[in-house]
Amino acid sequence: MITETAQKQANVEVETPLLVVENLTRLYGHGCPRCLELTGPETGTNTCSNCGTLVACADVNFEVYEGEILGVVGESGSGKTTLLRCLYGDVAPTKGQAFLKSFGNGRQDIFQASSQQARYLQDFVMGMVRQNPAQGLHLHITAGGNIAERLLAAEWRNVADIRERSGALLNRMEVPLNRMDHYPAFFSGGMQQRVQIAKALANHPVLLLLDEMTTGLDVSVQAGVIDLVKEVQRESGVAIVVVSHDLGVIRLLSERTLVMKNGRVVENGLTDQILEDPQHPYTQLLVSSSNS
Amino acid sequence: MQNTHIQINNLSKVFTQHILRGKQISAFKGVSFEVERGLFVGIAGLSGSGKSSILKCIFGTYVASSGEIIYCLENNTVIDLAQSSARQITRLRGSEIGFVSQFLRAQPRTTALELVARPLLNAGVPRPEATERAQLMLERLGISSELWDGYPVFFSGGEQQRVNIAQALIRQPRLLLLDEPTSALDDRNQSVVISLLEEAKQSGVTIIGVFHDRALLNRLSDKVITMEYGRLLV
Amino acid sequence: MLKDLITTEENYNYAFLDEGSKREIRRNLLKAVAIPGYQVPFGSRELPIGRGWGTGGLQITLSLIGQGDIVKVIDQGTDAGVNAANIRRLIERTAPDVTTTFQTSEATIIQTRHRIPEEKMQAGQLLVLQVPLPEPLRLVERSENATRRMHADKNYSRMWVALYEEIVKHGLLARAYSYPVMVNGRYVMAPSPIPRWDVEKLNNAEHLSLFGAGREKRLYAVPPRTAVVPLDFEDYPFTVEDFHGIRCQRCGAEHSFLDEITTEAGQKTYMCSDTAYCDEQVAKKVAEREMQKEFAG
Repeated sequence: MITETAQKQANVEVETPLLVVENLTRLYGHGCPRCLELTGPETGTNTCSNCGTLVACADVNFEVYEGEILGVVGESGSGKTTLLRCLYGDVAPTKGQAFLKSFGNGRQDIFQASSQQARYLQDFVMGMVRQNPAQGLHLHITAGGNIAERLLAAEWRNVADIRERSGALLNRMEVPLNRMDHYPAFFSGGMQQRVQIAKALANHPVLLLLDEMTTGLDVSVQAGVIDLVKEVQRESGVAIVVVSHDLGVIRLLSERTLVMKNGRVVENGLTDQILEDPQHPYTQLLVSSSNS
Repeated sequence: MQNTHIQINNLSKVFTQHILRGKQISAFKGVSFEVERGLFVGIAGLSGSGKSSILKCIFGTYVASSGEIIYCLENNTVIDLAQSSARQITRLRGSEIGFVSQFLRAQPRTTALELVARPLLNAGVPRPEATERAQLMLERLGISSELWDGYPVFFSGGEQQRVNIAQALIRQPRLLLLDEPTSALDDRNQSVVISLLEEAKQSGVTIIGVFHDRALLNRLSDKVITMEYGRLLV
Repeated sequence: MLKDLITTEENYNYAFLDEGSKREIRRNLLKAVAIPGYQVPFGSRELPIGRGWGTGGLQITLSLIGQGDIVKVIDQGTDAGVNAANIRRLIERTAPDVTTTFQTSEATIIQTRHRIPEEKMQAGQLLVLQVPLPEPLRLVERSENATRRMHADKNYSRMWVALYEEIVKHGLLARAYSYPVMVNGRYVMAPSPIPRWDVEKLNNAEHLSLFGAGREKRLYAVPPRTAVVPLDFEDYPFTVEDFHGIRCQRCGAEHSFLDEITTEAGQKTYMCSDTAYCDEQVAKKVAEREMQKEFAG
């Protein structure tokens, strides 16, 4: 029998997260004191009825640990894409901080980084794969050239070395080597996504952001891409934040998941818990509506 | 030196169905029991009595509504799983706590062999060794080598269940939770699984198992607790 | 003679531009010299020459000349071309105390379009280059805002990708003129449409090089003793034009940039692009022959 006196709180080593996001908020519009109160899952809207400001996301807090895959699921307007775009530096948040272990020892807010630091984060620390390959790739630069861009940013100056590494990455992503000098404009959607992933991983980032990576792809192609991502994650240990509206994708990839609605996080827990014992009313609705 | 591996204190689980205007369904209530290290505790009861739900609360798949799940780690420190964070639970799964579900969740493009080798690979075992051990396990469970490169989604129910057991047992966690793992197996395969479980027990694995087959339960367990309508019978 | 007929009573200021304009241009040139390779925007003035015909280079020259300056003007290497001649005449008319010359070593200021003189320029000499398109990144990025940000962030990966793609497509670095260079390890610069042959003359030079783009309204500079390095790869290094086995048909020079000329008879022949240099080589040869004749007989 474990007595009360013998109980002590866990000495499970205190694990420092790779990424900590606090109070992330992004408004489109001038904002007013009632914006947060008038928007969110309870009111069912992102738009403040008082001033018309769009609250894309607000008060988002979460952590990502090294080597783990965190899922973010939600429907349109949930704020999940805004979340990624703020992290990657596409847009600046209205409020909030984020700390990366590999940046300033986890003590420097990445949202306050200088433009050169921000570029460093984008080129070396993080990788992003976008839903629309046209936004993540230069469609009229060769597949190898797209990857070369990242290596060149890392000051690789030997063409043979660049081609070897680009080739290896493309090969790992199951893109045939004879397509290396072809333009992604002529690739299938699945292959374009695989080139994006290869490009995102070129400089060994510690954090990979996947924004609706499989949306629009045929189901059989989706399975291949998902599987590839899992393999690559196992091999490289990269941490991943995967955003999707598809619960099936989330189930296959992530260990922990955030559920978002109208810009807020409504639930945060183990993926199997969210799917089998959803706590929040919206999560219950989402899970019961899913056909995967 | 604690001998108790896990202690459930007054644990309750209530499902609140917000879609049904907050209707509450109680899975089980006020359950308390303890399991000593290396013991096999069986939970008996009819379906719907809440047995699987207890296991799922321990594993974290269900959120306990109230009560404690006091778990003793390998280094003898103690945590309450009911209060642990999702990340803490993720870290415990695999090495500390394993779960054998009733049904196999097939993964796309993953062969049976790969599925069984996966837990070892994740633990850092080199591929050749992981593959070999996976093959041995599959052989043991009567999955012929022809099927090793097959996708389990095409296997029979029994074959799927055996693959499931293989991948759960290949890396022995300290606490193993079994949720009706043999329901689809014939007698011969059932005996194989029984001997595997007994071996696990021999190596000191603590096991909590749910079986609706009373005879099987009695045969495997050191101690049997019975659930009825969500309550533990004493 | 003809010079006596020239008057400056036509309400033109000395060297055509008003003093305020010259001062602004000189100020901006100082900024340019202070930040080697960085394009300084400036208010480009109206001149009696069309945009795209050297107004940038000319504004620099006009802002800098004064009493005692000796100016040389060349176009594609030759002093005798129509454009060079017209520019020279404008200078002579509006700045009568300035002399002009064809000799590189004599000049204090050399204004040029698309070539750098073969004869090495010395400390104290100014080279003024006419630039049509000052932005080297324009071929990879249309937006001015974006290219300015790229320079500010020293983010030249798109330029490097363009060079990589060239190698993939053609097997070599194909750019023939206006080859992009890295100045002082910081800014990528367009050295004006000089051939590759001339790019090396900018590196660690004794003289000051000033670049003017009148139509695009930019000034930039490479101070003396500044590193100017063409962008290339370890395994695909920058190379200059290969004149192996060819010499100037007129003066016999082997180490000069040669123009390919088709004679009326349809034959291909080569002559020095730098005509003043060619003249000097010819004069040297004539002098040698005279000396030999003297010794012989």
